[in-house]
Amino acid sequence: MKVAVVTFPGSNCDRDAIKALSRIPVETVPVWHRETDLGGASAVILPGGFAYGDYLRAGALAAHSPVMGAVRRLVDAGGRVLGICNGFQILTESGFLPGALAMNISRRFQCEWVQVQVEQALPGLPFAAGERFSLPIANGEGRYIPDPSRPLGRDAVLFLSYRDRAGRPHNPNGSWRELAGVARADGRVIGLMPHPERASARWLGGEDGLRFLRLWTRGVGASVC
Amino acid sequence: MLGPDAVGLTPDEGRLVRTLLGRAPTDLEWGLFGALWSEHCSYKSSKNVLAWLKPPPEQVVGGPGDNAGVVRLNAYWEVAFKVESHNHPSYVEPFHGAATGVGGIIRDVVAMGAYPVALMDSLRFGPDATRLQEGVVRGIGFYGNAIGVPTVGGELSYGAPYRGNPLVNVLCVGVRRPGSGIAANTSRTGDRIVLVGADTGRDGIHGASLLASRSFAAADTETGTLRPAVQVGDPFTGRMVMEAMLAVLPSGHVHAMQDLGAAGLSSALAEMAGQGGVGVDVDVDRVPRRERGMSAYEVMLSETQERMLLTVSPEDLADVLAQLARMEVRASDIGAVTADGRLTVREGGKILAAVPAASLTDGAPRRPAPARPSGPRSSPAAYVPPGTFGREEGIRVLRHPECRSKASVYHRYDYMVQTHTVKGPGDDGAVLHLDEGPDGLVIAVDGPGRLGACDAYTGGARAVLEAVTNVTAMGGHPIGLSDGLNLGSPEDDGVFRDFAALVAGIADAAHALQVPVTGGNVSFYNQTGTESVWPTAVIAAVGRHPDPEGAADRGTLSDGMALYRLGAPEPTLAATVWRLEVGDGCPGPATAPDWTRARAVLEALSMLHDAQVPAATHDVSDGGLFVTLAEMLLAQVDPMTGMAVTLDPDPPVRLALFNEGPAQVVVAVPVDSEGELFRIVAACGCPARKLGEVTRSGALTFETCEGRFSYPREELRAAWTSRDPDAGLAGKGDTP
Repeated sequence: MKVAVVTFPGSNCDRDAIKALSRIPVETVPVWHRETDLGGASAVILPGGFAYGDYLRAGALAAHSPVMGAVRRLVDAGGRVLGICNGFQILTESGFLPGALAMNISRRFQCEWVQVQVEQALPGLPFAAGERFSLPIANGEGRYIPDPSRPLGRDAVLFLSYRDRAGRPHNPNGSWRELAGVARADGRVIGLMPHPERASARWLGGEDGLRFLRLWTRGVGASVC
Repeated sequence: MLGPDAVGLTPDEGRLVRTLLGRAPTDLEWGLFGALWSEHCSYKSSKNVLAWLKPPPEQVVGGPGDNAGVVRLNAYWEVAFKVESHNHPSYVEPFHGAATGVGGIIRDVVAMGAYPVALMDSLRFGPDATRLQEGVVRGIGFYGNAIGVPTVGGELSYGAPYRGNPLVNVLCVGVRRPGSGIAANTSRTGDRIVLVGADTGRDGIHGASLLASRSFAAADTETGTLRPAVQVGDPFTGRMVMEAMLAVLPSGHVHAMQDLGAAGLSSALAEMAGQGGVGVDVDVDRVPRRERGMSAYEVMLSETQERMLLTVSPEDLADVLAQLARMEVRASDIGAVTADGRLTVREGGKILAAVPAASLTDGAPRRPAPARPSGPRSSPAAYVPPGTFGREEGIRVLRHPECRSKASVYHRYDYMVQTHTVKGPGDDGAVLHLDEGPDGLVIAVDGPGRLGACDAYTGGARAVLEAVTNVTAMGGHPIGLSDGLNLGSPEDDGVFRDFAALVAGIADAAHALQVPVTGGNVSFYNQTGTESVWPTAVIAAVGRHPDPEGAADRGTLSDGMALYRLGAPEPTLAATVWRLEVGDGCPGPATAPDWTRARAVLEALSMLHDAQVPAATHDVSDGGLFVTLAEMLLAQVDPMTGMAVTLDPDPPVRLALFNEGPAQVVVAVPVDSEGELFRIVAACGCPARKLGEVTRSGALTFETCEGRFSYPREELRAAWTSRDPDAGLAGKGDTP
C-alpha cells in the first residue's frame, strides 16, 4: 500500500506529510503536479501550502493542474484522497467537495492548536463518531461556507467539527456549523483545515495527527484499486 | 552624462573613481560605483570598526563577508544564519518593506547552500505606531507563511526614538551538510553565470544608494517621492527559487551561488568577482525583462526580488538548466566567469562598462576607526526612588507594552511548518528538532535598545549577554552570534562614536562568553531630522541542544517544586520597565555586565540542564523577577498552579521584584534535585537564592517585610493580555 503526496508549485507541507507518514510507517510516492500518474498509489494527499501563491483564489489554479485528472481517476476507481488545508481548498475548487473556504472572521492568518471531533463515521474508515483529535491549524482562509441553496448537497457530510477542550462546540474562525472537515459520503474524499501531519510526534506537541493518519491509511489498505 | 552627484557619491569619491579607471566613467560605470560605494553596499564607514568583531577562525566555518555566517553544529549539520535589517523600506511601505526583508534574508541563507529552517523578527516602533506595526506584521506573515519557513519567535518593543525610524530586523537560520562549502566567492574561471527566478523590472532602482544610505527628510515620506524605490515581494516565486536552487546543489555541478539584493545584478556580480578574485562578463540583453524599453542601467540596478545567481561549468550547463526548467523556474545564461578580474557589462555587441571588480567591492575610501572603547563611558548612577512597594505596581509593569503577551502577533505567523518546532514563540528562545543527528538547534534574538539609550557600549554588551542567556536557558550551548546594528547617521560624530562603542561592547561580550560573531548587518541613517534611534544591537544567538526531544517536556511546574534565582539582583531600578511605568520614565542608565558573575551563572545553568535538573527556566529581563514569575505561572495549563515566594528583608521589595540587572535566571527544580542544584552552583561559584515553592493556590504570592501580596492567576492573565485582542488564541498545551 502506497500513498502519493502531490507537490504543487507553492505547496509547503508536502515534505511534512511524507515525514509524518513515514512515522506510521507507510510507503509514500512524491508526485509533481505535472505528472498524470500517481505511481501505483492507492491513496493521495493534497498537502498544505500556497499553491500558485494562492493568487486569484486559494486552490483555484491548482485545481487545473494535470495531476488532478489522475486524482479523479483514482477516486473513481475506489481510491482515496485527503486534502489538508490548501489541499482542502483545492478539493472544493475542483468540485470534489461542495462549498468554499473564505477568509477567517478575524481577517487574519491564525496559527494555533484546536480540538476537533468526528461527527460522522465514514464507510470503510475506522474513525468513530465522537472521537477527538488535538491538531494545529494555520490558515488565513479556513472559514467553511456551504452552498446556501443546498448545504453539503446530497453526497457530502460534516466529518469534523471544532470543539473546546470540554467537547463543547467552539468556533475559531467563523466556519459554518463549526465545520473543520467535510467528506464525501462514501469516505473516498476528505478535506480538512487542521494539519494532522503537524501533530505527529510527542515533541511536536502531540501525536493525535499520527493517530488520524493511521486510521485514514487503514481505510486505504482496504480499498486498493 | 551622469556624474558623482547623480549616483550619491561625494566629489572626492568621484575624483577617486576617475583616478582608478584612468578615464571618465561611462554612465553605467557611474551607476555601478554609486551603488557599490554606497554605505549600504560598501560598509565604508563601518568596515574598520567591524574588524573588532573578527572571530577566531577555528570557531567558524564561514564568517563575516559571506552572505551569511556558518558554524558547525555536529557531524550532520552546519548552521548558516544572519540578521538583516529592512528599516527604511518598512517605514516607506510597511507591508512590502517587511515582506521583502524576509525574502532577502532567506535568499542570503540559501546562497550559502543551506535550507532555511527558521525565522525570527525583532521589531521596534514608536509608542503608538498601530498602522505601521499592522503593515509590518502583515508583511512578515504574508511572506514567511507562504514561503514555508516557520517564524519561531522574535521580539516586539517600543520607544519614542523609533517613532520616525522603526526597526525591522529579521533573522534567518538554515542548515546544510558539512563540507558543501558553497558561497558567492567559489566560482571557477570559465563557469557560465545563470540568473534564476523572477523577470527583471524597474522596481527598487537606487534603493541601496538613495533609500538605505541617507536619512529621511520629512518631505520624502510625506510626498511619497521614495516610494518607487521600494520593491515588491512575491513569496510564491521566492519558494520556487529557493527549492530550485537547493535542488540543483546535490548534483555537484553548481560552483557558486549569490543572492540579488541591494543594487541587484551590479552588487551580486561585483561581489562574486571581487571576493572570488575572478572577473565576470555579462550581456544585459540576455536578462529576461518584465517591462519593455528598460535601459542597461536600469537592468543592472533593478532590485526586483526573487532572483539569484549560480555558476556552473559549461559542460554541465544544459543539465542544470533542464533541472531548473522541470521545476518551472526561469533560468537564463547571462555570461561567463573570466580570469581578468573585471566586471564587464555588454548590451549585445557593445561594451557599456568594464571596471576592475575589486575597485567596486573594496575601492571605496574607508573611514578610519576611532580608538576602541574598553568599557562604558562612566559608571551609571543608581536609581532608587523613595517609597515602598504598592500592590498595583506589579500589574502596571506586567501590562506595560514591553512586558505584556505578544501572542496576538505571533499567532499570525506559521511557527509550525516544516514540523520541527519543539519550542516556539513565547519562550526565551526556540528549540528545533533537525530529524537527523543527535542535536537540536536553539535560536534566540534580542535587541534591547533601551539598554543602550544612555551608553552604547553597555547596550552592545547586554544584547549579547541576553541572547546567550536565552539560548542557555533553553538548554542550549551557544555556538554563534549574528549582529544587526541600527543607528542614526554616521555623518554625525556622536552617532559614529556610539557605533564604535556598540561594536566594542559586542566584541568584548563575545570574547568574554567565547561565542564567535559570524557576521551581520549595519543599518545607518535611522534618523529623521535630528531624532535618531537608540544605538540598537539586535543579536541573534544559535546553540546546540543535546536533547531536543526532552526540551518538549520542560516548562511544566508541579506542586512542591522549589523556585530558585540564579545570579543576583542589582541595587538599582535604573533601566527598568518599572522606571518607565511607575518611576520617572527615563529609559536608562543600564549597568554593564560583570563577566565573571555572568559566566558563573551561564555555566551553572548549562550544567543544570545537562544534568536534567530544572523542570522549567526563564530568564529575568523586561519587568524583572515579577514578570518572570508571572510568565512562568501563566504558561501553565493547570489553572490551580500557584507560587509562594518569600523575599528577604533586603533589598527592598521594589528592587527585588523589578530590577533588571544582567545574568539572572529563575529555575524550578523538583525537591529531590535540590542537592544537585546546590552542588552545581557551588562548583560554578554561581550566586543562588531560594525564592519559594510551586503551590496549588492558583495565585502568585509574595511574603515580604512590607506585607503579603497575592495575585490570582486570572488577574495576572488579564493584565498580561490586556490590549491584546487575540488573547483567546491558543498555544501548544493551551487549547481552550
